[in-house]
Amino acid sequence: MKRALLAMVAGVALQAAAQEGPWDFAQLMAQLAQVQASKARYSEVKRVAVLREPLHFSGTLSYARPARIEKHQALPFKEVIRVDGEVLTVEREGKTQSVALQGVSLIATLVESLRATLAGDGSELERLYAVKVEGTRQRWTLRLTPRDFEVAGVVKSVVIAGSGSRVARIEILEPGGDSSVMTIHHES
Amino acid sequence: MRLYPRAALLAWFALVAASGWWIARHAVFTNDLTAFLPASSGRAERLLVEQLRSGGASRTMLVAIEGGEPAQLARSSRELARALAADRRFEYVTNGAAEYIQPARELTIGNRYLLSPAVTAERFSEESLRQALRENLEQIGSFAGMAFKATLVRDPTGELRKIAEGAAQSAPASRHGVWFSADGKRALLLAQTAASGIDAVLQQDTLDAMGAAFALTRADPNQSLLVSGPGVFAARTRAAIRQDARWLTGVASMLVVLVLVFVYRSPGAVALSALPVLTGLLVGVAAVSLVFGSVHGITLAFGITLIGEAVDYPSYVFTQRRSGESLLEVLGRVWPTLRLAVLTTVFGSLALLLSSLQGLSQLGVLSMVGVLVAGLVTRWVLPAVAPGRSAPPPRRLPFSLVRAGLAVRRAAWVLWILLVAALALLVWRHDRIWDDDIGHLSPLPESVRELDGQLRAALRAPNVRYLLMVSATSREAALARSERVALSLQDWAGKGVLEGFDLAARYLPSAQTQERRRAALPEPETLRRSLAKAQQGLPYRADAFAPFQQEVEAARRGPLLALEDMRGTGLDLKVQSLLLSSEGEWQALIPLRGVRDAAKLESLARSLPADLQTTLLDLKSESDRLIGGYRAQTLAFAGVGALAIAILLYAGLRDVRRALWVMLPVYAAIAMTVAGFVALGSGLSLFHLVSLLLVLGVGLNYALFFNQKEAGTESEQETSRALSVCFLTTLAAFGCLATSRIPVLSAIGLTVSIGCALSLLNAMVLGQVSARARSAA
Repeated sequence: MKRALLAMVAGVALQAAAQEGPWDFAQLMAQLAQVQASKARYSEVKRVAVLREPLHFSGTLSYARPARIEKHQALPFKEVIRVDGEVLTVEREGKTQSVALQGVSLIATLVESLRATLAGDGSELERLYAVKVEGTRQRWTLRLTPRDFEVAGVVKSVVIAGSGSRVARIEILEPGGDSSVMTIHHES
Repeated sequence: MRLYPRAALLAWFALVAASGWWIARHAVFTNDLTAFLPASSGRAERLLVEQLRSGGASRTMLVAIEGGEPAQLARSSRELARALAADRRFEYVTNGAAEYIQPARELTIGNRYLLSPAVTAERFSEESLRQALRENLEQIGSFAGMAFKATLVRDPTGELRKIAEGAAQSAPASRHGVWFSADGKRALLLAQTAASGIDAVLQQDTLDAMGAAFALTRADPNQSLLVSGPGVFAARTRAAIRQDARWLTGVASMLVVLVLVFVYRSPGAVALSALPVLTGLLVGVAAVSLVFGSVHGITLAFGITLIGEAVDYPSYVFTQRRSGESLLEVLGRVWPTLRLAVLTTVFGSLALLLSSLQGLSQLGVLSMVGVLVAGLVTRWVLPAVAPGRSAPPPRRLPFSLVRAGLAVRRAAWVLWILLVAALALLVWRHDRIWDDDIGHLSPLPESVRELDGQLRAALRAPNVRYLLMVSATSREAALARSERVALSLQDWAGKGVLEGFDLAARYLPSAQTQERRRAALPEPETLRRSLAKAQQGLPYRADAFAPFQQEVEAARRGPLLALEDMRGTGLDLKVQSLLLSSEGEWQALIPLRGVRDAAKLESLARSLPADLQTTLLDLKSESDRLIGGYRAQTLAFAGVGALAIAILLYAGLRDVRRALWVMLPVYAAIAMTVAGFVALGSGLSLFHLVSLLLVLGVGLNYALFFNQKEAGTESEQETSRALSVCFLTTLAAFGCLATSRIPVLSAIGLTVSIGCALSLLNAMVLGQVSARARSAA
C-alpha cells in the first residue's frame, strides 16, 4: 500500500519533470491540436514609424476547429474579419467583402500563422515558415520566419508565445521596424 | 517519225529543267495564311488582317503548367519564365512574379501623377488631403495595413491604388508569388512570340523551344505543359494536316498503284501514268511563283487535289489500247475527246483564277497551267517514251459499265426524281446552303478550343470578338479620342452592357491629358502648407510625408511619359498592340470584355459623336461576312467558267443537244451532292466549293467518254475500262481523304468521292438515255 502510494507520487513527479523538460515543435502542435474551440478578449498595439504614437485596438478573438477564426474588433471602430476554410470575409461599416485566400498569398500566409498554430497544424506552418520553438511547456515561444521571398519583404517574423495549449501573445515584426503586438486575455 | 520522239522529249526536258531552275532559284514558299484573307478595301478588313498577321493578340501564347503540388508548379513556372526570357524567340514573358511585373510597377509608381485618372488640383487641397490622411490611418490599422504602408509616405493620396483599380480586373489570381488558376491546379504564364501568329512554321519552332525548355526545367516529372493561342492553333493546324495528309497520301497512292498494276499488267505503264501529273505540278508551281512571286503552302496542298484530275489522262489513253496498237494510234482515236476534257478543266479554273482572294487565284493558276501541261505531256511525251506495240494490252474487266448503264436505264426515272427533289431542296433551303463560319474551317478538335477558353478566362486575356476602333491622323489624336470614348464605355459598363475594356491610353495617356494632370499639381510651398494644415489633429509625424512632397515636385518639373520610356516593361508591347498605324492613319483599338448585350452595345456605339470616328467591330461576323463574300464571288466566277465550258463543248461537239447531254449528268451530280450535304445539315464551305470544281472537271470527262461511242461497238469495253480505272483511282485517293479527322480534308474527300460517284452514275444512266434517244431518232 505504501509502496503503491510511493510509486504514484514518483510517477506524478516524473510526469511533472517531463513537462518542465525541453519542449519541441511536435509536442507543441500535438498539445494545441487538442483544443476544439476557444474565445477570448484581445488588445493590440501597433507601432508605426510614420505615427507619433502607437495605435490601440481591442475586441474578441475566437477559433473553432477545423478552420474558422473570427476577429471581432470593437475599438476604435467596428470590424469583423472572418476566415472560414479558404474564404476571407471582412465586414466594416455595414459592407461585406469576401475574397479567396488563394488569391492573396501575403494575407494567406499571415492568416495561417495564427490559424495553423491554433489548429496545431505543424505541416502547414512548416510549409510557410521556418519554425523554431523555445522554452518549456508552461512558457513556450514559437518563432516563425516566412519562407516566401515576397512575404519576407513585408513580414520579418511572427513570434507567438503561450502556455500549455493557450496562445497568449502574437507579435508581428516588419523589416522596416514597425510592429504589432496582440495580447490575448484568457478568462480563467 | 524518228525525229518526233526526240523533239518531244527534248521539249519536255527543256520545260522541266526551266521550271525546276526557276523554282530552285526564285520560288519563295510561305505559310502566311493571310493569302486566304482579304487583300483589299475596307479599313475594318485591313484591320482584321493586320490583327491576324502581327497584332499583339495574335502573338500571345497562353501557357499553363499542371500536375502535382502548387509549390512545385510555382517553381516550374519561375524556371520556365526565366528560360523563355533568355530566348530570342520570345519578346516578352511574364508569370506575374515580382521580377516580371517590377519594371512595369516602378514605371507606374514613378509616373503616377501623369497616369492616375484621379489627379486634379482639388485632390491636393487641404480638405482632400485631410480626408485622405484620415482614411490612411484606418488603413494602417486594418488587416491589409502591412502591404499598404509600403507606399504610404510616397503616395498618401493613393494614386497607385487608383491606377491599379483599372488594371486589377486584368490580373489573374496569384499563389506562391506567381499566377495560378483559381483552383490552384495550374500555374499560368503569358508569352509573346517574336514570330507572327500566322507563321505556322516559326510558331511550331517557338512551341518546340518552349517544350524543350519546360522538359529541362520542370520541378516534377508529373507536370505537363499546356499551351494555347492563335500561333499555337496555326502550328497545330499545320502539323495535323501534314500528319493526316502524309499518312492518307501513302495509303491512297498504294491503292491507286494497285488498281493500275492490276489493269495494265505492265510496271512501265504504271510509272508513266505519273509523268503528266508530276510535270504539270512542277510547271504549275513555277508559273504561280512567276506570276505571284511566292507560293503559299496551302496553294500547294489544295493544288495537288485540283490537278488530281490529270492522273486520269494517261488512264484514258492506256486503258483504250487494243492489242498490238501503238500509243500514238490510240491517241489518234482518243485525243479529240481528251482534248475537250483538258480544255473544259482549264476553263473551269477561271472561277478560281479571277478571285480576289490571292490564295484562290494562285490555286487557279496552278490548276490551269498544271492541267494544260499534263494534257500536252499525255498527248506528245507519253507516246515517245511508252512501251511499243508488243506490250501486253490492258486486262479485260469482268464487267462493263456501259452494259450496266443500259441495264438500269429503265430506272432512270429514279435519278430524275432524285434530281428534282435535290433541286427542290436547294430552292427551299437556299439560305442554308452555305456555312461561312470561319471557326468551322478549323481542323482542330473541340477540346483545343475548350482549353483556349479556360486559359483565356484564367489569365483574364481578352477573347477579342468585339472591339471599338478609333481612327485619327496621329498617335496623339488617336489616344486623345480613345480617352473620350473610354468615358462613355465606363458609363456603359456601369449599366451592365459589358464587363470591361482595355485601352492604350490607360498605360500611355495622351500628352494633352498628361499635361492637364501635371498642371494640376501644386507648387511646393502650397503643398507644404495644405499638408501641414491637413495633418493637424492627426497622429502623423510632422515630416512623415516629405517623400510625397519631393515626388510631387519632381513630377511637376519632370517630362511627360513617352512610349520610349516604357521599353522593357511589357507595357510598351501592350500599348503597341492596341495602337496600329498604316499609311499615315492611326487606330486605337479598344477590345471589349464580357459583352452581355450586343444589340445595346451596337446602338450605344452608333450614338457616339461622329467626330470621335469610332467604329464597333464584331470580328467574328466580320470574318464570316468576308468568307461569305469570297464564296459568293467564287460562285459568280464559277458561273462564268460554266458558260465558257458550255461554249467550248458546243464548239467541240458541234451539236447543242450533245453538249447539253454531256453537261447534264455532272451538273445533276453536283446538285445532288450539295442537296445531300444540306439535307444532312452541314453547310458548304469554301473548301467544298473548290472540291466541286474538281468534280465538275472529272465528271465532264466521264460524260464526254461515255458519249464518245455507241454501246455495242468495239470500244464499249475500252470506254468501260477507261472510266472504271479513272473512277476507282479517284475513289481510292479521295475516299482515303474522306476518312481524315480534319474537317477540311474530309470535306474535300467526301465531296469529291460522292460527287464523282454520282457523276459516273448519272453519266451511265442519263448519258445512255441520250444515246438511245439519238439512235431512235
